[in-house]
This record gives sequence, C-alpha cells and structure tokens, in this order.
Amino acid sequence: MRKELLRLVNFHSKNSRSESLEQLNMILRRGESCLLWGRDYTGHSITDIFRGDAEILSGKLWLNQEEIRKCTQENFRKGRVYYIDVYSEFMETLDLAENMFLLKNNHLKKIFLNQKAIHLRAKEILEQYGLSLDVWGSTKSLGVVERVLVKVICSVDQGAQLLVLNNLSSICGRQDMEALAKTLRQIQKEGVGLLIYDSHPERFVDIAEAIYLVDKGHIVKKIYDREAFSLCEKIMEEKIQDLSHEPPEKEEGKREEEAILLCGSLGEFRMEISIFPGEVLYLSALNGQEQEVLCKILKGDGDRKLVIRRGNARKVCGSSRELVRDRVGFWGEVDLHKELFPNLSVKDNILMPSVRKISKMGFYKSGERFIFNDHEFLKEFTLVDDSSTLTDKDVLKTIFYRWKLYNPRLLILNNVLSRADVEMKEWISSQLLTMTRRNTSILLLESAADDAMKIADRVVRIGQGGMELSEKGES
Amino acid sequence: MRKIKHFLWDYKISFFVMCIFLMGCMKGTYQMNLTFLLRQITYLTFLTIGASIEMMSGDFDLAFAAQISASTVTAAYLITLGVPIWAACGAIVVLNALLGCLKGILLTRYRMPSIIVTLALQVILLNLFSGIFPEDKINFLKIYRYFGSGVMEYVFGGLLILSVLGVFFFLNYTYYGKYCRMLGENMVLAEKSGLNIQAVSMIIHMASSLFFSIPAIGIMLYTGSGNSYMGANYLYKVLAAVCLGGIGYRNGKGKVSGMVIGAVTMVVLLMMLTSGGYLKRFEIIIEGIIILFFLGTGKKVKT
Amino acid sequence: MKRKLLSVLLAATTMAMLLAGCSKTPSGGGGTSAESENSTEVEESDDAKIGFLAPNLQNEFFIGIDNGLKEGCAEKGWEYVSVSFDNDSAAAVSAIENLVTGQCDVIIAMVSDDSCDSALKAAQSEGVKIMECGVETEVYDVCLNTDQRGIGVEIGTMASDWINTQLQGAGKVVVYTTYQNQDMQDRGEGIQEALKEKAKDAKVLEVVDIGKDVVGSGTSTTENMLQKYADLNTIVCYGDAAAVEAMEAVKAAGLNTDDFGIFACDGTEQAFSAIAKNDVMRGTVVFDPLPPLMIEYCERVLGGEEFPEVIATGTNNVTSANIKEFYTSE
Repeated sequence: MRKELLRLVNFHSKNSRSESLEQLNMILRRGESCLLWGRDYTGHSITDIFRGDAEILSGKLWLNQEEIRKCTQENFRKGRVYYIDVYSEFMETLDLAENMFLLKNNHLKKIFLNQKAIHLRAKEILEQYGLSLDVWGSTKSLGVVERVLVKVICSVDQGAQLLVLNNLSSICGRQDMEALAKTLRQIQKEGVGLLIYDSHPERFVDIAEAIYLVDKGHIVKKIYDREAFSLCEKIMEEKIQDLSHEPPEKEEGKREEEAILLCGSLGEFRMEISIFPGEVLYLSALNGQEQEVLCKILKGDGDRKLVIRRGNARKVCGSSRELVRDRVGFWGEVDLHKELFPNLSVKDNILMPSVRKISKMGFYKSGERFIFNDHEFLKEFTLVDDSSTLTDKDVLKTIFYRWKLYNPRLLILNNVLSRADVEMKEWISSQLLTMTRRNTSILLLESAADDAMKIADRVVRIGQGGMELSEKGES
Repeated sequence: MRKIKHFLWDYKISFFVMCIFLMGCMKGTYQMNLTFLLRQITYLTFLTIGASIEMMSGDFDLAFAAQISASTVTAAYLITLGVPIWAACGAIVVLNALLGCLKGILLTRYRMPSIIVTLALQVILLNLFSGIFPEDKINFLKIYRYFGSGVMEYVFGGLLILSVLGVFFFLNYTYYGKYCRMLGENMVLAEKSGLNIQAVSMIIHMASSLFFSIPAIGIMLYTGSGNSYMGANYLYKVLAAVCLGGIGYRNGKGKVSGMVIGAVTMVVLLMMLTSGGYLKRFEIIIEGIIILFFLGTGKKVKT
Repeated sequence: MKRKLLSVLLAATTMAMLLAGCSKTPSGGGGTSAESENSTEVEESDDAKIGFLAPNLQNEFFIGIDNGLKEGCAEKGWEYVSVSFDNDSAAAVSAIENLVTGQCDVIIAMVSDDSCDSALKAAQSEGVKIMECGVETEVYDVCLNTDQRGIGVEIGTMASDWINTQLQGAGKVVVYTTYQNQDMQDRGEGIQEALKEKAKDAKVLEVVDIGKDVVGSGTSTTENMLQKYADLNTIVCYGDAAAVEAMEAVKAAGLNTDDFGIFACDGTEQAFSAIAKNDVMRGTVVFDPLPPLMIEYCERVLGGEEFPEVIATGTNNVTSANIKEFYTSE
C-alpha cells in the first residue's frame, strides 16, 4: 500500500483570477500519477495551487501528514512537490550545468564550486533521461521544450515526490510529445508521482493511473479503471461540436493578386508562403523547436526582417509594432497574460491597437460608447472594470475582441488553440471563422494539430531547407 | 587572433586612451611616475572592483564614496583619541562592513530601488558624521605617515594583485560569485529557486565593502587625516570606470579584466585631463557621458 | 594553454618596456633633472609650466586668483593649468601627482592643512617647486601667508571703529566664523579679540560656525540671527561670500539702515560695490593682489632663490572712506 502524500479535504480556494475551487476532496499517494480532465478552468486552477497562486478559503491541505496553511511554492518545495509549466526561466549568465545546480536550494555553507564535478554530473543526469545537451553551453540556445524537460529532470534530481505539470503539450509537436512522454514514464518508474493537467488530456492517458474529471470548480468523477479511460470524453456532459467549415470560394486570378506573400529566414530555415484573404492556413511544424523558429520569423526576429508582399506593395517588418502598422496581428506570447495591459481597463485593452483608427487625434473615448454598445460585436462577454482580476477565459476573450475590433488583414496565432481549454478552443475556433468572413486571413502555428486541423483550409508542412506545400489531410 | 580582436574591440575606448597617453609620454608631453600611477591605479581599482561586484548583483551604488568619508573621519577621530592605528583601520573595515550589510538588507528585504537607497545613504553619511564629530576634518600626528617612500604603494599594489586573483576566483569558482550574478540577472527567479537572497545580498555587499575599506585606509594614512568629503570625488570616476569595464547593470555580466582595464583607463584619462589643464567640469562631463553611453548600450556590449 | 600564457607574458613585457621608456626624463623637457638645473635655470624660467591647486574654483576669490595667474603666465609666455580639489584631500593628492605628470615646474598649492604634505614632498623629489599660499606646512619652497589672526584683528578693528562712531559703542554683534580649518579659526578669534579690546561697550551676542564656502549658509544663518536677536546691528564675517549673503538677508528684512553694518574680508567685487554704494556692507579687508606676487615668486624660485621664511602678504582695510582707491563703479 502506497503511503499517502497529498490530501485535500473539503478544500475551497480562489486564485488571483477569481477562479474558485469548491469542495475538493482528493488523495494522492506516493508514486501515483493522476490526470485532470476537464473542459474549463478547473484543471489548471488545481495545478495553480502548487504554483502558489491560491488562497485557501476553507478546508485543509495536508502534505506528508503536515498541514499546509499557505499555498506557496516554497512550502510545496519543502514537501518536495514541484510545479512545472511551459514558462521555464533560466539564468543567461550561467551555463546549463550551473543553472541545473545553482537554481535549487543550496546550503549557504557551500563556498567552493567544483565546476568539473557539476558539469560531469549534469551530463550524467541528462544522458540518463536521453537528453544530449551541451552542459557548458548557454541556456539561450535551448528550445522551449528542452527547457521544460531540463526543469523536469532537475526537479527529479532534487528528490521530487510529486511533479505538477500544467499544460505541457501546448508547446509540444508530435516528436516532442514522444520525448516528453518517454521522460515521464521513466520518472514514473523511479517512483515520482505526477499530477497532470492539459488542454489535450488524451495525450497523457497512457501515463495516468487515475483520471479525475473536473468541471466548474469541482471534481465530478474519479476513474481508476484503465478500460474506462477511453470513455472519458463521452462521460463529460457537453460534447465538442463538430466544426465543419466550407472554405470560401476561390476566385482564381483575383485572389492570386490579393494573396499575401510572407518571406523570411532564420538559420537554415527559409520560409516563403502565401495566404489568401479569408483563408485559414495551418503551418505544421515537426517539433517545438521548429515551431519556435517559424514564430520568430513571423514576428520579424529572423536573420532578415519579415517581407510581406501584396500585389505590387512590399513591406518589411522587423517588430510587432511594424506588423500592426501593416495590419498584421500577432497573438500568442509565451505568457498570454503579458499581452494584457494590467494598468488599463478591459475596454482600453480592447481598444488599444485600434485607437488611431478610431481617432487620429487620440480622442478615441468618444467612439468607445458606440463600439461597446454593439451587441453583435461583443457577444458572450461581460465587461469588467479591473483587468487584473480576469480569468484565463476572459483574458483570451479580451485579446480576441481586441483583434476582432482591429480587423487585421492577417492574424497569426501561436499556440493559442493548443493552450486553451476545450471550452475556449471551441469558442475561439468559431470566432476565428467569423473573422474570415470579413476577409481576415488566419495563420495558425499550433503544436496541437487536431485543434488546428478542425478549422484549417490548407496545411503547409516544413520540408528540408524550405517549405513544402501540402493539402489538408495529408500532414 | 580572433579572441585578441574581440578583446580589443570590447575595450576599444580604453585601448584608444592608452595609445594616446603612451604617445604623449614618448613625445614628452607627460612624465610618467610609476609610484604615482601605481597609487592611483591601486585605489581606483579597489573601488571599481567593489562597485562592480555590487553592480553585477543588480545594485547601482552611489553611497560608497560617502562610506569612505564616514569611515576615514571615524578612524581619524579614534586615532586622535589614542586608539592604535591598526584598531582604527579595523574600525574602517567594520564600519564599511556594517554599512554593506545595511545596504544588503534594504535592497533585498524591503525591495527598495538601489539608486534611491544609496543616494539617501550618501546624503545621510556625508552629513551625519560631520554633525557627530567635533570637526569636519581631523588631522592626526605626522608620525603616522608611512607613505612617500614608495614602499606602501608597492604593498598596496601587491594587495591589489592578490585581490584581483581573489575576485577572479570568487566570481568563477565559488557559489557566491554565481549567486552574485544570479541576483543581478533575475532576483525573483533566484528567490523562487530557494536562494536566501537576503543573506546572499548581505554577504556580497560586505565583500564589496572590504574593497572600499582598503583605499579608505590607504587614503587616510597617506593624508594623515579624515575628512567628511574624503573620497567624494571618486564617485563618478569609479562609476565611469565600472561602465568602461563593460560591467553589466542588471544582467549579472562582468569580468575582472574589465574592472582593471576600466580603472586603469580612468586613471590615465584623468591624468591627461589634469595635466592638460582642463577644468574639473570637463572631467565630470566626460564621466557622465561615459556612464550614460555604456549604460544605454549595455545590452549590445559584449562581456 | 601554453600559447595563451606566452602571449600574456609577451604583452606584459611589452607594456613594461613601454612604461619604462616613457618614465625616462625626456631631454629638453620641463627641466626636472637635478644635473641640468643650474645651467638651464634662466632658459627654464622662460619656458615654465605653472600648476595652480585651489580648494574650489567656484568662489569669486579663487576665480580671481585663477584669472590673474592665467593672465600673468600668458604675459610671461608660461604654460598654466589649474585644478580644484573641492576640499577633498584624496582628490588634492591625485591632482598634485597629475600636475607632476603633466610636467609642471611650480605647483601653487592653496591647501588648507598638511594632509597633502606627502604628495607635495613626492612632487619636490621630482624637482617640482612648491609654493604654498594661505597656509604654512612643512613642505614648501616658498610660502606666502598672512597672519590670519592679524587679519581677524583688522576686521574686528574696522567693525569696532564703526560701532564706536556710528553707534556710540552700543553694538550688538554676531560673529560668523568657521572651524573647518585652523586659519579660519584663527581669523575668527582675531575678530573677537579686536572687538573685545576696541569696542568694550559692544556685546557679542553669538559666535556662529557657518561652514566654509557653503553657498547659502550666510543667508540662512542671518535670517535666523535676525529672528533671534531683534536688536542685532552688526555682523562680522570671516569672508566676503558669507557677508554678501548676509547683506541680502538684512535688506530683505528691511534693516538696511545707517545703523546696521557688516564687515568681512577678501575684497570681492560684490563687497566693493556695496561699500561704494554706501550699502549695509561697510568694510572689507583686501589682500594685496596675490597673482602678481605669486608670479614674481615663481620666477624667483625657478631662478634658484630660496625662501625658508614665510613671506607675509600685505592687507588693506577698505571702507567708504577709501573705496575709490580700490574700486571704480562703471
């Protein structure tokens, strides 16, 4: 019988985005792997407890038979519970091995640093988990997925009893997902428990020993029988809508003239793609690193600036500001919350890029009333005053409405659908399709191919040294 | 060859200044005196090392010159009361260490911006000790002057070499050197990772204060006095030297070679300006331009 | 690794050789070699470099000396450089060393105490002549100084004479002094001595330390004194800078009558102007012009003359009776 590690008893909490959990009762034993499966915010709110973003309103949380009164990362770290998500920070002044050894609890009695020893040990640990990285190298060159894997390995090396993983698949392509799954299985065998939340929970079914179905701040059902795992989706009350989308009719000749041609390069990658007005194009990358490269090129951070051609017009864009000026929107920073301006109201957040279009002299407030009274524009969204207390769902909606109001010629999305929970995926997908009816082109960079394929008109896959065109269904 | 090219390019301004100075020497415009040069380089380098370590840990220190003043006044007063010299020198070290601790606490525990904290400390220290002690300037007996023969200059020079080696070892081969860089780059991440940033910051500031103590002792013994304005003129010189040495502000970057090169460059530059009869204002203007320029282009300067 | 060590050693050796080469006395230079001193003395004084080290170059007094020296050196065809050390001994020491590096033949050091003696001695050992002015220490080739106590007595005497004639001896006096250096302290004591002896009926209400060369302290102190002593009618200062500020404060308080008097020392432009206008500032002690005296003794010391004794600089008391000899308003 495994010893008890974590127990939540009638746990009621609230996080900084006012998302609350109620009447949570949960026991996790040592070495147990549990998957949180839900369509809304509940899953990631549970993982937020371990991120230190939860205020206990009532109930108890016990870790290793000791009560935790305050949810801080430090308290959980003492109990050897580590939280990992896609935002993995490293110190650029230190090399990889130094990052692995110094970014952890160290006694201040240690003075002398044995460089050779720590680099050897780092190499050993990485090789143990199948990662061949340069331990003397800078962490700047690491991809997002590699950073996450290194964080996972470091946590295990520090003696983790439980790893809390939040939405890791949102940055993983197929190859990366395999590497991640392999690492997690290896860790499992070593007796480390896992508590996983993901917007694509089906990818972690093989790893999980138990699935908790969560909805609206509660744990709805606990499933321990492996055979029942495959029925999880059906057990959830609301089904995912089958989005069928008729691509707009192609007017040959005319559309060729209006097509937007995007050219850029970074290192060995060269990109030259065209996208038509109102089209949804999915750029399929093999792994997270390639996707990052594409993202950098599209943001204008490549070796050369991004060149956008439309008919006879040619624009060169080297920054987000230049992209917006050319009516190209980019949505999908690593931390979506950073796309919001916390000191501005929700209305101002929505109006921001469109201010010059509303009034060149800056008197945009006069147009505000008309915009926000238009119910067609602002369906399914209740405006609140304070942008710092928005839930994840509201953040996504705010940013979406920002772009909807701006009406860009081209909107590039980077892992927005992959990161959103199931409910929001549906909503965003349907809203993007309404934008295409206004001739906005949508360019998807998504690690989750399934989400993108549901609405993509066309799929383009990276090939060796350039881009290969491929029709939908063959990627 | 490539490394030499990179090195020369990184410190191109220093290299340029040294070339002009050496050409001036060969032409006969300047008559170099090694003792003078050694003394000035020694003091400025110690101060630059201390200020650089603090800057690498993310703190822009404006109070170190006032620390020197306060500690020399205190020590000179103790000597006039009959305290032995070695004890008075110890008092300088202890006072600087305490002030370093205080800075560490204010900057990490209360998360106060370093420029504001150190500016306030500077103002307080400059005026506090002149208010406490009976005189603003305290001269003690002439028998305590050991300098002039060149011996003490070479002793301090030797101490400097040991210190440079020590700092190199500290930054590259000790945990605290790495912690110093971590604090400078991302204090929040360092704290999240479990580092006791308050303790580390106090230790780093105490270590820096040791480097401020040594020139304070030297200046006090050389002039046989303590003065509430002593060392005040070093403030912008040292900051300019730190910037010339390529020490990063808030990115944890910096090399010992940069600290030494920055200090030597400033000494030579000031020597040329003074010898050329340029008023002090030009010296301060140049120091200000150097600080602005290098802080502004800090991200692009390779270290 | 070996190549690295070798290249570092090579670079260090090259630098050392360059430095050694540069530290040799250049021929036909500033003439600091002892062997050639006697034979080239006459030629050297034609081609000399003078360095002036001032406590600060923002005070009118020192600016006046600086300008005077500049003009004097230009007439002689000498090179001239000036540096201020802002009352920081460490800066003074570095400045002296840099002046030596810059091949100055004479350093005119207006230091305030003997904290720079080590540096001055080192400069002397390099063959540089040291002229001290305003303070006497152990290290100098020529020293121009005034008896500060005597100056204080002169200021006090001027004030006493005015109190006795204008106020019939009923003077209520505040003395502004500073304890920042011994000379100013002596001056302050001289003022008090003279007042005690020559204006026996006058009362010294307070002796205030206003700090040396602190801009604004004269104004603030005077305002406080006027508040504190309603019957104050005489202010005696150690220097014109504070006196001029005091004058403005008295005018602002509406007390600039014939029965209020301010006395000081230095002979600045503003003080002269006020005396000429018969303003509240009634008298100042002015030194004989220092720059010509300094230039003269620079030439003599470069010529090989020795001055073991301190050379006293003369003073003059300037009041409204003789202001026209010293100042003409435009």
